[in-house]
Parts: sequence; structure tokens; C-alpha cells
Amino acid sequence: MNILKYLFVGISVLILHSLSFSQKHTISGYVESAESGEKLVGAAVYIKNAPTLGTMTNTYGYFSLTIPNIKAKVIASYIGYASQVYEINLTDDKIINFALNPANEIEEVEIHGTKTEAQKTEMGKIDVSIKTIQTIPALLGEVDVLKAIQLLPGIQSGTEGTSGFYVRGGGPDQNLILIDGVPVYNASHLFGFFSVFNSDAISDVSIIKGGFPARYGGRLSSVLDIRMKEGNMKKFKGSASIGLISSKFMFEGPIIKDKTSFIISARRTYVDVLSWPIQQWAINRANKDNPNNNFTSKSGYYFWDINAKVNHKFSDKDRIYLSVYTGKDKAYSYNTDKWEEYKDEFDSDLHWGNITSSFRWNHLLAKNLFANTTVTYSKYKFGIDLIEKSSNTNNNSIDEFSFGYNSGIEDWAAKIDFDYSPIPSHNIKFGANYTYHTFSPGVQAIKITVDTSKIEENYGNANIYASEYLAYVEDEMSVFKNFKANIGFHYSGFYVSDTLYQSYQPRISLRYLITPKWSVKAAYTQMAQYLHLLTNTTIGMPTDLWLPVTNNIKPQESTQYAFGSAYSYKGFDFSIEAYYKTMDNMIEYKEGASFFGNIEEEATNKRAWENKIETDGKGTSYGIELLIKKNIGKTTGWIGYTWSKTDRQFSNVSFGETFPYTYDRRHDIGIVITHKFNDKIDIGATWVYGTGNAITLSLERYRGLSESVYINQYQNYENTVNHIEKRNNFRMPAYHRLDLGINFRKQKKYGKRTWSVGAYNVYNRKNPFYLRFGRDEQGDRALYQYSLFPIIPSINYKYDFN
Amino acid sequence: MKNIIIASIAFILILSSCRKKLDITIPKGKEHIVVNGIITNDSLIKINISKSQDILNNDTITSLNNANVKLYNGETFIENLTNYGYGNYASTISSEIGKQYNISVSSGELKPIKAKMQLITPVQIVSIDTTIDIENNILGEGFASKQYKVHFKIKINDDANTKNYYLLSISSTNPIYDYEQDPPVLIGYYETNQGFDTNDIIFNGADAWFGIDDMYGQAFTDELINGKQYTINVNSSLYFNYYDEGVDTEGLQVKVKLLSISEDIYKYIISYNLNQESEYDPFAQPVQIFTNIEDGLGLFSGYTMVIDSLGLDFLNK
Repeated sequence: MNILKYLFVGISVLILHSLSFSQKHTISGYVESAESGEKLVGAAVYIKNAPTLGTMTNTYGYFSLTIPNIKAKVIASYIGYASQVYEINLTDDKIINFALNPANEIEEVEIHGTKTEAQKTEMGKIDVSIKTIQTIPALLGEVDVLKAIQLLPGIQSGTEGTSGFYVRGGGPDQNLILIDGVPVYNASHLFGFFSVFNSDAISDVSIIKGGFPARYGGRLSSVLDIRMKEGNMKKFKGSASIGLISSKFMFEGPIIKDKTSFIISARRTYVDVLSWPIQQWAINRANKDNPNNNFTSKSGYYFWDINAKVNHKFSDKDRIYLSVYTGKDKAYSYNTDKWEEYKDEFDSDLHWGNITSSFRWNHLLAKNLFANTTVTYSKYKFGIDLIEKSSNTNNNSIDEFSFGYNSGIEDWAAKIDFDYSPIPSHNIKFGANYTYHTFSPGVQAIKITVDTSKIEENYGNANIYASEYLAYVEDEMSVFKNFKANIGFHYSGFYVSDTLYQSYQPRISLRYLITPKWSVKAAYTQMAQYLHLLTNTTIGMPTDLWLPVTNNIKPQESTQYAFGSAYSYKGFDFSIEAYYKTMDNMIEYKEGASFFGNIEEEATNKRAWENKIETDGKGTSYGIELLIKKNIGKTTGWIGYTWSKTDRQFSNVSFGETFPYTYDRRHDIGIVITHKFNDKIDIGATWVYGTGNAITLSLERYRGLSESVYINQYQNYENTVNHIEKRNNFRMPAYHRLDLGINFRKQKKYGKRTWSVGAYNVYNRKNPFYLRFGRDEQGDRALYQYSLFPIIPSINYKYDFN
Repeated sequence: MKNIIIASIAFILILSSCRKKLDITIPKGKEHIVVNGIITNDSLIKINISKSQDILNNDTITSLNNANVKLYNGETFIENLTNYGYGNYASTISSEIGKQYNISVSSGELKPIKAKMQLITPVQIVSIDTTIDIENNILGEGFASKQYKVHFKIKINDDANTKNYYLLSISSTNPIYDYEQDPPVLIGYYETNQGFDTNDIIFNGADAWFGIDDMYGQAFTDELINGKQYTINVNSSLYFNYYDEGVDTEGLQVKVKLLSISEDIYKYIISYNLNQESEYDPFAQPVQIFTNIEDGLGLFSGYTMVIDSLGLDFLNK
């Protein structure tokens, strides 16, 4: 606690000290795209020939730079855009709004002054351009943000084809996924094979794996910050595309030019609709074979999602945003069977979906003090409905059985963030957040009607209400020449069931610039997480339950140390990072526990789920990550390599023995290359390699105990059991895959059309999905590997309207 | 509900998965000596010794009949156990409560194993109260079959100084008739395990049914009742068949057996049952079975027991 006290006092002194400076003035403003009016996040703004006098735009495209009264040139630059220069003679505070024009990407130009990886103080943060993501070949042509970030070092994919990701040994629940600052609790469509993010609506993607600035909290392993486009302030634009499994459109434009803009995008799959005629044909054939029957059936699966955003600029000081995302998955089956006076109906559906919405108000309190106030709402709901009905038209009797199951989580939150730049050597961020959570851990409703008698019962866990709050302060400061530090402090609290948990988390990131292009970095982070994801499967199931800490289940905590070095050379960023992370109070289902509750137990115990889990999990993860990245020029992409080791330990799992985590992956390689030949053709290729997942497999069998210890010739075959050496004792074969894609673009009268042709798993590698024992043709036991995706070609047509 | 989810996943897999046979080889030296032995007091120490084998080996399990099995009382050598075929070995001495028995087993190139166990003094049953909830008579020609739904209240005194593990078993004796005679003649009795159901909290949370020495019952711990006098509540449906004329029913009994088992047996029971349940659930993590055999597999442990026998007269109260 002493360290924290000194840290707090130190930051306060620095703030007061900075306030005492005089003879300085502030340049502030926004950096935006001249083409669309979109704010550019992370653009560099600096004084020519004095790069230390510089800053970067924040999440809202705003910058503030307080400098001595000088005559100078102020430059704004951003990757993919031509730099813009303003000449100033600073005698007063000044507002400068930069509008950058897109650069000609064909030319291989090094944009001087843009902050390189070496110059950034942050560690473990990677920004991925949405343009690159859209060029990466994708499964069934469905561009996917989450699958793209799985290709980065330190981030591992889970089960083949799914969009769940695992960062530096953490679980999927330890990733804070934000869309416009609002948490998304289930980021998957179709059991995890696609993510909920429609790339057409996305502006920026960045992920932080370690060295978390103090403004972030609530999860142990990563923050994936996805920002939606704001909508074109200048003109109407749109796009529509048709793919193998879904179609989508995006439309954006000004409501009031340069004042108010909107963007809306939507997509829906249509596999179900396309399959209906086939289903109907099969049903007609069945009914024809049995004329007394009249059978109908319709089943299928679909998902849809919609992103919408409106923003209005009142003045250079005030701007508001309203953004909404909603999406739903549904698997359904409706069947009726009629014969004579009888009719049977059976309807079932499985549905889940998210809603997130946020209202933001950006307000400039002073030239160097920016405030962002946000109110957000987020909801995830999962449900199952089954109805079975039998009726008899002769006596008008109806017997009905219905079953429903619902679970989910709902959040209301409000937060305020301040961005304060008193002098160039200090950029101070501080703020607070309050979230009111409602957890619904699973309620089962059963209704039985037999003639006139009815039975209605509800079983399950009671809703849990909780308050989560946080406050933070961080200062990115130049300590002395070439040495920068981001020192911060994050406080969080969680109040649930008359129990208050609190956490004090110091955050430190240090960067020393050996040369202007080469730096060494270090970071220390403590994190706490008050939410747990209860899952007993290795794939991202919609049934996974988000649950809070309780008086019995403590918050997850982690401590991470990271060291690294970054070097920039001719448009290439080279970085190496080593990390060591410990995690405490992790949860897991007890061995053999069932996902679905025992109705009898849940009827009497509204928190029965607590009895199903182990709560004392410890985890350790360490590794080294290498990244070579090229963001500009004809050829862009990256090569990432991770060596890592991750394990878990629970008192009552595997008899307390430490075991490898399922995604303990010794080697993980991701190579992404995109190349633009000209305005008409570009290609993308990815190759991934990963050590096989750790699974639990019996390798021996032996004679188990019988009711009688002694055996005889008649009992010799009895009671053979499989021996499991320990949890996750076996490695599946390694995973590797090559994907290729090519885009053919052509300018048309009203816009640009793009044909995208690609192939997933080009060399048809049979990658392991799961292993299972079976019998071969001779009847002998054999181990079989089941693979999911062979080579899968894809084709997609897109039209971008000007 | 669960089926829908599993069916949905299965649907996706069936549509798209393909199968490939994998060759796995267990590294040499991974085969283990397996010892199975649950000992009780005043009985010979009997164990069964076999060898584990590759999971893909379809042969029947190999019993080890040529093993060198040494029995010790603590560090003191007692004797070599004698082989009686099928991997069965036995001592010539009977086991005693309080003594620690160690065994060492070696066989050929397999890694030798060691194991140890100790029998504890059994916890006594203080009293048993019963009430009959349901009584059904099924009468046949000359025979009767009676079913009683009996509520047992079994009072025990748990020992505060030790961590106790128990297994409760209820059995009943039934008559054996010689049907060659007319009328049939009672020639003896046989004992059958009777299951029971219970909402008693001490059984909560674990599937702990298991059979030891032909006694089938449910295991529990003293976690919630340590050092206390506690009354265990269970219900059992007892069936009795008997010839209804001139039959001596004195020999018919209900037996309540309270086994004081070792912690190792309890761990084995819990892990064994979870292992069996998880084997057929593709979404469950496989569960390790507990072993206390150093460098080997299986279980070498023991129990002591008290039996309270109730004559049939309690059914007529």
C-alpha cells in the first residue's frame, strides 16, 4: 500500500507542478479524414524538427498540445494518409482541425513523424487496420475481426474455425471486448464460427495484451477495443455484398453536412431460407408414401445483426454520439403431424443475442481538458423454448407440454473520462465508471396441461444484482530525455450480496529510447475481474454463463510483468516481448458436474450453480512474442511467433496436480501478407501453425476394483477402467493451415465492384477438431481424429456506392 | 434441452467432419503394476495383481501370477503373499485394527510398486429407529411377497479427532426354499443389498454409490457432522418373499452396515463414479481415478464395519 500511496502523491505533485507552468499555450483540435469526416484515432500531431513536442489523438480523434510560445510548423500524420502541415506563431491558445487526405497506397512512402512501435510507451498493444482485416482471406468469405486478431502473437485461437481467443494464457472470459466502449458478452454467431462484428461498420481495432493503461480494467488478459465508424459527414456512401452464407449492406452519409451524420449496416445469413425448398420436397415425398399422414416441418438456423450510429457536432467543443448494435442467432424446428382426428405439434428453438448501445458526449472543458461522458446499456440473453402439443378434434382435448430456459446478463453503466495535457511532457487521463449488473444464471419453466388440469413450475437460480465501480488516473510523462513512463493507478470495487470486494491496481509502463527507432520497454500490471464465465465445453457455446463473484467466489486477480524491445526500420516494426503472468481465484466446473442443473436441487437452492464449481484455481503463463509488422506500402502484413507455457491448478481437479491449460501452445505462428498489385487486383494470404491442443486422453486401461477383490475366470473380463495420467496429458497433432484470397476491383458508373475469391485451408490439411476412440474395420480399438473443415472455396460480390 | 444443444453440435459435425485414424503408441515402460485390495479386520489380506496395458490393446487384462509380493507391518517384514491364480494373492495372517500394512510388489521388467494402509476402529451405530411408510402385500398361491417402505433413523457418534469416511449399506436376508419338496422346505437364507434414497445433507453433492466386498452402499464424509452425534435419515424399499404357511421368519433380517472406510477408498469411489459418468459424455472432461499405489495403479486400503441386524418383528410394530 505504501507504493500506491507514493504513486498517488507523485502523480498529484506532477499535476500541480505542471499547472504552475506559464508562458505556454495550447494547440488543440481534431484530426479527421478529409474524405469522410471520420475522426482518426492515434494520429500523430507534433512540431516539426522537435518530435518530442508531440502527442497523439485520443479515441475520439482529439489532441491537445501545450508548448512554449514559438513560431513553428505543426504536422498531423496518420498511416495511409498524407501528412498535413500548419504554420503557427503561437501567442495564444489555438484550435487547429486537421483534415487529412488519403495517400496513394501504391507508393511505398515512409510517413515521417508517425509514432513507430519503438516510440510508443505502450507495451502489448497492437493496432490492426480494418483495411488489412478486410483483405485477409476468411472462412466462407465472411470477414471476421476476431479471427484476424487470432493471427497476432500472444493471441491464440481456440477450437478450429471459432472466433474465441486466448491471450497470454488467459481464458476467453478474461477478454474485455468493447464495441464503442460497451462490453459485448457473447461475441459469437453460429456457436463461435463467426464473430458478431460486421467489418463494414468498423473503423478501428486495437488489442492490449499487457501493460494495461490504468483506464482499462475488469478483465485479466486483454482489452479488444473496436470502434464503429461514425458516418460520412461529407456525402452519402454505401455498399452491398452477397456471400455464400450471408448478405449485408452498409449505408452512411450526412444528415446535416459537416454537422450530423449516420451509418447503418446489417447482415443476415440465408442458409435456412435456401434449404426450405429441399425440406419441403423431402416432406412431400414422405407424405406421398403415407397418404393418411399430413406431416409438415420447417427447421433451420440463421443469424442477423445491425449496427447503427448517429453523431452530431454542436460546435468544436461539443459533440454527441448514439450507437447501437443488436444481433440474434436462432436455431429452430417446427413440426406438425396430422392423421385422422389427431394432431401432434412440436416446436423448438434455441436463441441468443446481444444488444449494446451507448450515448456519448464529447465536451471540451478547456483547450487542454477534454471530457467524454458515456451512458451505456448492454444485454446478452440465451433461451430455449420447447412446446409439444397433442390435440384431438373429436373431443376437443389438448395435452400440452412446454419447457423454457433463460439465462443472461444485463448492464447499465455511466462513465466519465478526462484527457488533460497541461504540458507536452504530461498527458493525464482520469475518470470513473459505475455499472449496475443484473445476472440471470438460468431459470427453467415447465408447463404441463392435460385436458383441463394445469401444472406450472419455475425452477432455477435467482437473479443476482451487483454494482461495479472504478476510478483511475494515469499520466504518460517524459521523465527525462528519451525516457517515458505511463504510471497509473486503477481502483475498482464490486458490491454483491452484502459483500464488497475492492482492488487497488498499480500500472506502470516504461520506455527508454536507445535511438529514435529503437527502444526498450517494461511494464507491470495488476488486474482484477469480478465476472466469471462458467463453461464446461471447449467451444464458445451460447450456454456459457456469466456469473458474478459472490461471498463464496472471490474475484480473479492477475499480476503481469513484461519486458520488451521495439525497433523500426524503413516501414517495418520489429518487436519482441517477454511476459510472466500469474492468475488467482479462477473457476471451473467441478469434475463431472453437469451444465444443466438438478431440478430438485435448484428448486430448493437458488444459488445451486455455486455448488458446481471449483473456485481456487491458479494459473501461470509465460512466453516470448516476436512480431515483424509492415503497415505501409504495396505489401503489408505481419509475421508473429509466440513461444509460451500455460498451466492451471485446482485443489480438487486432477487431485491438486498442476496440469497444462487446454490452449497451452508451445509454438504459435501467424503470417499475414497482403499485396496490392494495382487498383484492380490485390491478394491476401495467411498461414497459421500451432502446437496441438492439450486434451485429456486415456493411454492405458487396467483392472478396476470389483465388489469382490478376488477374481476368477468368469470375472476376468469385468470392470476394466481407463487410466488417465493427468488432466490434459495428451497433445493433439499440430494445427496448420494456409488461406488465400484475391480481390478483383473495378470502377463502375456508380461506384466500385469487388469480386473476392478465396480458399480456406488451401492444402486441405486435416486438422484435429477432437479425438475419440472407436473400432476399426477389424473390430479393434483405434483412436480417430475428427476434422472439421477441408478446403473450402468462397466467393463474394461487393458493390461500393460512391 | 441438453439434447438440443448436443444435436445442434452433432448436426454441424456430421455435415462437415471427416475422420482419420491416428496411430498412438504408449511409450515403453508406461505399463504399470495394478494392485486391487480392500482389507478388513480379522480377515486374510487378499489382493489381486495385474498389469495395465495399452489402451488400444484388445486383449484381456493380464493377471500377474509370478509377482514377488512382500507384506510388512510397518518396516517389519511379515511374509510373502501366496498366489492362488488369476492374480489373486493372500496372506496367512489376519489383519488387525491399528496396524500399518505395507506391501511391495515386483514383477519382471515392470516398475516395482509400494503401497500402505491402516485399519481404523469402526464408528459405532448408537441406535436405529424405524417407521414403516408403506406396506404392500402381494399374495400368490401359497406365497407372499411383501414390500415395505421403511424409514431408517440411524444414530452415530462421529469421532471429533479423526477425519472419518463412511459407507452405509442396507441389506436383507430372504429365504431359500427347496421347491422339490411339497410343500417347499426352507433350507437357508440369502442376503441381498437393498438400495436406499435419501435427502440427508451428509450425502449431498457426490455420487458415492459403490460396492465393497459384495456390500453395496453410499459413501459420505463427516465434513458436516465432525465430532457430533448425528442421525442419518434414509428410506429403503424392502422386499421379502416367503412361503406363507408354517414358515419360520425368525431368520429373516434387515442388516444396517456402517463401514468406516479410509480416505483413500472414499477418493477412489468418488473419482471412479465420475470417471464412469464422464466416459459417455463427449462434452465432459475425463476424470482421473484415484490411486494410492506408488509407481502403480489401483487401490490398497481397508475398512472396518459394524452391523446392526433387525429381526422382522420391527416390520410388524
